Formats: sequence, C-alpha cells, structure tokens
Amino acid sequence: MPENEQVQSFVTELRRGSLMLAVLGCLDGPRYGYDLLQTLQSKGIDIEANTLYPLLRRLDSQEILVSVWDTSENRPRKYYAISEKGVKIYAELITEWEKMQKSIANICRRDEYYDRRN
Amino acid sequence: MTDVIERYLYDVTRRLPEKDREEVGNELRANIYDMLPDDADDNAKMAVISQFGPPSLLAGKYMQKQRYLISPAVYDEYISVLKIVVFAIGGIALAIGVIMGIINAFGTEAAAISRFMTRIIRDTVTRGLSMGLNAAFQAAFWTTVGFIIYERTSGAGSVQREWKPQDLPAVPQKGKNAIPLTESIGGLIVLVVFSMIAVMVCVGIMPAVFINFGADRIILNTFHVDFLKACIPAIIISALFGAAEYFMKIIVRRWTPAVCAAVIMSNLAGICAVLYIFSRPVIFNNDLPDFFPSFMWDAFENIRYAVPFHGAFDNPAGIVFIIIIIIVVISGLAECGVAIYKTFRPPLGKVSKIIDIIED
Repeated sequence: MPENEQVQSFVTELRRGSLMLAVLGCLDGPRYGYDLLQTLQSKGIDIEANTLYPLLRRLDSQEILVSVWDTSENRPRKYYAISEKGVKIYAELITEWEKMQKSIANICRRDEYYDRRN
Repeated sequence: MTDVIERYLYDVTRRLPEKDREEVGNELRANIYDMLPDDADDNAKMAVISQFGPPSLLAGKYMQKQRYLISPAVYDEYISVLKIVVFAIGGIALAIGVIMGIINAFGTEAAAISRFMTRIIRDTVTRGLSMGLNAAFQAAFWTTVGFIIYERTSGAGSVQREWKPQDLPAVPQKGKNAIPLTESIGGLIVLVVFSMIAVMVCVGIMPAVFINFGADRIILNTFHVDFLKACIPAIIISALFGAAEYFMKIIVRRWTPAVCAAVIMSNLAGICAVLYIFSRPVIFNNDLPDFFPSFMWDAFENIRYAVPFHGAFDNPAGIVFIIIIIIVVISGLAECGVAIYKTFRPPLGKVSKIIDIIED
C-alpha cells in the first residue's frame, strides 16, 4: 500500500467514530438528509452522502434518532431528530471526547514530540 | 428505458433484506432529488448518482449486520477442522479406493499378465483418485455446513463467549509433549484400511482361499466359517477403540491423561480381541487337510486342531499361536507404558532443576 493511501485509511479510521458525534451535534432540530449533509460539509466535516444516509438510518434503528416523513410539500422528505436516549448518549460521548482530546493533546504535542525524538 | 434514478434505487435495494427495501428506496429517492434541481436532465441525475458510488457498496453500508458464512469468531477453528477432516477422510477414501481397484482388477479374467498389470494400475489409480477426491469434497462441504449450522444456532459469532484466563491451555513442551498430526492421521488411515480388509476377508468379499488349479478347479476357504463369524465383532470393536484413540490424538494433539487413557483402552481392546479370536475352538477349515496332497497331511492335521487353550503345548502350530499372542500382548502393554511415560514424565524444566541440585 502506498504511503498516502495508508495515511488515508488511518484518517478514515480516525474519523469514523467522530462522525456520529458530528451528526448528533448538528441535530439541534429536525433536519432532512441533504440539509444535514450540507451543514456538516459547510462546517468542515468531510462526509459523503453514501456514508451519512446509511449512518442516519442505523442511528434511527438504534433509537438514537427518531424520524418522520413530511408529506406536506410536493416531494416527501424524511426528517430526523435526536431522541431522548440520543440526548443522553450524546452528552456522555461529548464528555468522553473531551477527555480523549486532552489526553491526546498531552501525549502528542507536536513540538515536544519532535524534541523528545531528537 | 426507465428513469436512471429508479434503476439505481432498484439495484441498491434488491441487495437489502425484503423489509428494508421500500423504506431505504424512498429515503434514498428523497435524498437524491434533494440534490437535484427541479428540471434535472439525465446527465445531472447520473452525476448525482455517481456521488453515491456502486450500488453494491451503498447496499453494504445500509446492511445492519455484517453477513458472513463463517464469521471471524470461529474462522480459525473452521480452517483447522477442515484441514484435518479433508486430509483424514480424503486419505482413507483414497486407500479404500485403491483396495477396491485391486479387488476389481482381480475380479476380471485377464488373458495375459501384462494386460492384467495395466488393468490393476488403471483400476487402482482411477478408483483411488476418484474416491479420494470425492470424499475430500464431501468432507469439506459437510464440515462447512456443520459450521454454518453451529454458528446460526449457537450465536457464537455475535456473542462473545465467556472466557477465563484459567481456561488457557498449557504451553506444550516443544517437540516432546506434542503428538504429530501426520502420525495420528496416518495411524487412523492404516487402522481403517486394515480393519476393512479384515472384515472383507471375514464376510467373504475378499476371501482368503486356497485354489487348486487342477482339472477340476477347487476353491477352499482357509478359515472355518464359525471362526470368521466370530472375528467380525472383535475386529469392529477393536477398530472403534482404535478410531477413538486416533480422534483423541487428532483433537488434543499432545499427551494428556485423557489421550493416555484412550491409548490404554484401545490397546487393551486390541489384546482382548486377539485373545478372543485365538481362543475359538476351531480356526481352520475342516476340509483343508483333504485338500492338500497326502504328504502334507500330517502337518495340517496339527493345525486343524490348533487351539492354544486346548492342549496347545502338544501341538507345534499351537505354540506358534501362543508366540503370536505373547507378541501382541507385550507390544500392546509396551504401548500403554510409553503412553503413560510420555504423559506423566516430569517437564524438562524440573529435570534440569533436579540435575542442578545433584550437581551442587
């Protein structure tokens, strides 16, 4: 595997767990798929349609999200919102995320890391 | 031609479980149309669809559970069982096929010896290979089916099986405590083949006969019918004990008290079988002496009543049987002794410690 491809696969791996956090964080109110996709992308989250939509469906089936079809307009749209269970899980995940961020920052500070190596 | 979006949706959803198809289809349709302007042409539609990637990939992402025939949780066990089963059963079938080929070749009248040899080679190779390969494929297939059923019913793939550090196996002594797999499989093949030949001799498929090629061809069984009948259960029972021993060795692959017990039981069963067989009141066919020319009559008169436990020592043939029995018993007991030694000898570390103490 070429080096940049390897880097890419590590990045994908790193990102995988955090995507759910980003999705839950964006759901301040009911949103439909494409709306959510655009919001995430505009905030710098590198996510594609073919990743987001299956993720939404999975979170829905895990009862972290709730969904409802809106048929009032001429094209039906499925709206997703965070469930009560989802809110609790999101709070716990954020705490965990912050802890992890601190630990990683402590270990991996760039300058120090290179100092230690030299 | 139907709409390209519908074709795409169909190709994605047909790969999903029935119950999810409609919902995922509707959802994807809504999402795709959200990404398109109202008056989108086919090119625009295709551009959006391309962003979603190949239908199989997208369907895979929608799949809730990973789908495996054999899940990673049991894959290693599956492969090791597969190897053993395929080689053992394939090998046994190959050997049986070769024997059947030989019997087949003998069964046909051949005019010239050269023709007979080609026939025997052809028959053994084709029978052996076809039976061996067929059995190996069957074994592989049924092992796989077995594992699939096991996994679907036990939930071994999804649920983490309870595990304790105490369950860890002891590290085998390198090269000392291990029982080589090839040895066990080889032993099993030899056992099956010999038992089969013995049973075939007893039931008359492959009779041990004397043939007089005189003017009137006379074919005469070497052994008495009652003797052959008595042999069959003895052979089968000792073969079952032997097979149990080899299966234990194949599964455990090192000397443990259980393997040792299996070896001892198998050897005792073998000894009992031999004692039982040789203690039959009549062994050889009563008509045998008449079959041979008169000058050999005396020698066979002895054999006729050759029974070790009925006046064996008056009878030279009886003594031969006694010697055979002694050899069988001693080698059987020796094997038991070896098994006990290999199982219960102190590990190498302890021995070297003892040596250290002595040297000090």
